[in-house]
Amino acid sequence: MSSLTITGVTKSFGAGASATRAVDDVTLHVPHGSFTTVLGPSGCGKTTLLRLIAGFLVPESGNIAFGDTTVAGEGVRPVAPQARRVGYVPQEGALFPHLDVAANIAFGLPRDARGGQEGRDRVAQMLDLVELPADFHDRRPDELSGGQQQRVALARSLAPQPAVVLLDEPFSSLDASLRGTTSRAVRRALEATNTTALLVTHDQNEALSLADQVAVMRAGRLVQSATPSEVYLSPTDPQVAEFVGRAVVLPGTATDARATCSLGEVVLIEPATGPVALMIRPEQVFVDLAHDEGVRGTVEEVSYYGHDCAVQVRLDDGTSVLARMAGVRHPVPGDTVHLRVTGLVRAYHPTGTP
Amino acid sequence: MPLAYVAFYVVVIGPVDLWHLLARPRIAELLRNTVTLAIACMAATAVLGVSLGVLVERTDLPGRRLWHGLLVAPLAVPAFVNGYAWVSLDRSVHGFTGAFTVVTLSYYPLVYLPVVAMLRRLDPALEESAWSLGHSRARTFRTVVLPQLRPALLGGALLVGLHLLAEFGALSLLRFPTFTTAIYDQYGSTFNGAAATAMAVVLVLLCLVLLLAELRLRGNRRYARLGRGAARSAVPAALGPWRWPLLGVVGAVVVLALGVPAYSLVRWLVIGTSTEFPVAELAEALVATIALALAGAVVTTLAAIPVVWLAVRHRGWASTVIERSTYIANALPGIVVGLALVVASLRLVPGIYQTAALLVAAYVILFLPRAVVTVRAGLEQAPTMLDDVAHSLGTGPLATARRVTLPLIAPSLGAGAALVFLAISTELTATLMLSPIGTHTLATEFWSASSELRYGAAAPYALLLVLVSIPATVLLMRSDGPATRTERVPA
Repeated sequence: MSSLTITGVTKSFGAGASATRAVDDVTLHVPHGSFTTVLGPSGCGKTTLLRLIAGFLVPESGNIAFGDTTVAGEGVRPVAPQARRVGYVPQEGALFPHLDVAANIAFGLPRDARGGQEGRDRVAQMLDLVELPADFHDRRPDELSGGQQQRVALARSLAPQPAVVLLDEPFSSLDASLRGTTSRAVRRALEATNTTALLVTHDQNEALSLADQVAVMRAGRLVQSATPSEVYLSPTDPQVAEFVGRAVVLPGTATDARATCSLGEVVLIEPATGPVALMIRPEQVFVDLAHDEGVRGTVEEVSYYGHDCAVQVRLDDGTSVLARMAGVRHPVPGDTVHLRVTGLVRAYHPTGTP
Repeated sequence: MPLAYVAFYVVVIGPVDLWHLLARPRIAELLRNTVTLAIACMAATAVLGVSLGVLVERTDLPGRRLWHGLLVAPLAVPAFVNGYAWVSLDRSVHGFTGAFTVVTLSYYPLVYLPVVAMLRRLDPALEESAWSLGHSRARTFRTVVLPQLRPALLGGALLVGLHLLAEFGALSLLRFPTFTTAIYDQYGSTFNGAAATAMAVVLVLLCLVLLLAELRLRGNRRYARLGRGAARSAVPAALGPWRWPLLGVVGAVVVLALGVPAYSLVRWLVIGTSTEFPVAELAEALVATIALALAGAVVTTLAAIPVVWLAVRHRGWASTVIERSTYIANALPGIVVGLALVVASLRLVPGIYQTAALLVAAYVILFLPRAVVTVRAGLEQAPTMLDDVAHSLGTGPLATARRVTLPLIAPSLGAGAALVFLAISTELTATLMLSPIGTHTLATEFWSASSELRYGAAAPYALLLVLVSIPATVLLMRSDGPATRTERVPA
């Protein structure tokens, strides 16, 4: 087990003028035993980054180090994938279809450990770790559900005690309910073994709920890496804000710690002056059904989810605003409501930097 | 190498003499015969293969599993044995009609098998979507299923065409002259190498036309199944009142393709054994055939691995050329391959002339395409993702090949070897040319008897030829057999 440090890593595909930088000068540190998710839309280069770390690709420039050991970088001969001790869990699990569960899990163990009691113990230990019954050891991969396959794939990658575990959208092929239980089981298994892990995903909920650190990628570049709550509440720019969750972005005018906009006066996280873009999360917009305090508007649309509901409100000045409220009591389209902003708001200068 | 020999001869003879050799009415007749027979048989086998495949796979025809077995079984009867069976029953079976009937009945499984395999792999959801969009079952078949069957259909028809261009025994027995039989006659009667090679040039060109046509028709379309999850098996279409007539049609095909040779063989066996039954000679020929076929199958399959590896994992023009060029050898009659090897071995390494090694080399050249097709399908089922995973688990490239790739392609290696075994055990012409003196195989013994009209003496050899082919055919059938309808429920 070790930390993972990526410094200035770049990788392009294609040649000459048509070359595209899939990974562009990415720097990221994943502390020992922690869990980082790389979040980005499809085609942003996150899978390429993972394959660079795994050693299936060699970076053009930059360094990749596991702990103190550089595995790829200037003046260093790239270490072959099989010598890097990475655990790799691809999409769909990719279990070896010709082997049963036990043989899959034991695949990466040394030859003499595979057949013997030691191997059997390790397999049992791993099945227990990923919360699968011990009698699964003689099942074939096609007898397992998608979530079970993913758990076995994780067990297989953890069995040889890798330095780092890399997970490539491991839950994207699972349906919603399985995704939740499987991802939490994976998280617990990684925590129990104190394994350094990097997971790439395009799913915001997954990225935010699993990780210690979220790294947001866009067009090959790493635009923000921070704790989940920081990425959610204080994203580096409005695009990141809209990518990690629903956001209401309104033009406003800032004077020091406060700013005014269509929703009235708001309090800023960091002081600013002049014209700004204000990023407000829908759950920060309080919908008052009883009093006429705040900015008046008409409910246009209500999406009811049970635990909460999203309310689209057209303000009297014509601005459309999304608010999220508990689903206990909610308005219906046509109702007149009053809106207020609670909590601190992030302001961006028109260039995108605060 | 046989190609190089043909090319070498063209240069030696020169284009003018080549033209003189070819611009003869006899050649025009041969060309007409070859082309019409090839087109007619490819069309007939395509229609027969697809209709039978759909009937067995997608309808409620009674006894589908049994019919599937019976419909594949003609693969175990070599075309020349089939020809012998028809001719020896009724001397009036000859010429175009005879050749067309016998060849179609012998070769339709080459289309039927890949079509059935493809039908089984098709996601029924596609058809269901088309129905729900208001298409009738017939229209759905035409617009959704048929286009997807195209690779299987074209591949099968191409194989039929190539077999036909190289077919010698059946056509010779049925007295329908094509280029291949004419080349054999030239070699046999006059050892006129130039005239024969000139005809081989035309044959190679015909083969190239077939290959290009197939490439052009297939295009670059993809027929992958999108989406995940296990494909369900399709709901069989109810045939209603057509059930029994169609059953009759399938039955008729089986009777003609299987019943006629079986009846004929039994009849001649009964007549033949009353006169002679040389057990020792039979046993000797059997052992020689099995030994040669095993050696050839193993070497050919091993040779197919690198070709397939290049074609699948390192796509590029070079690998495509290597892969495609192996097909051309398939259309060279055995005798051209045989003579090319005789000439080459006598000039370059006289020591190996008339050895088993040279014969096995001829088999490799002749049957590599079959092994390549089968092994290729297997390797395409082994995603490179699995290699990546194995590497990340600390396994080097060699160990990955041994522990992941080989086990995954083992079934297709087995199927490829079985196909080659089947082909070698019934190969006639190259074996006649190249077998070491004193080595008699079932096919050569059968040939010498039946071509001298000793039908009774030929029967035991024909029977053994069929018996030798049965295990390989069963293996093929099992790998493509109707899917067992067991649903596995994840716990």
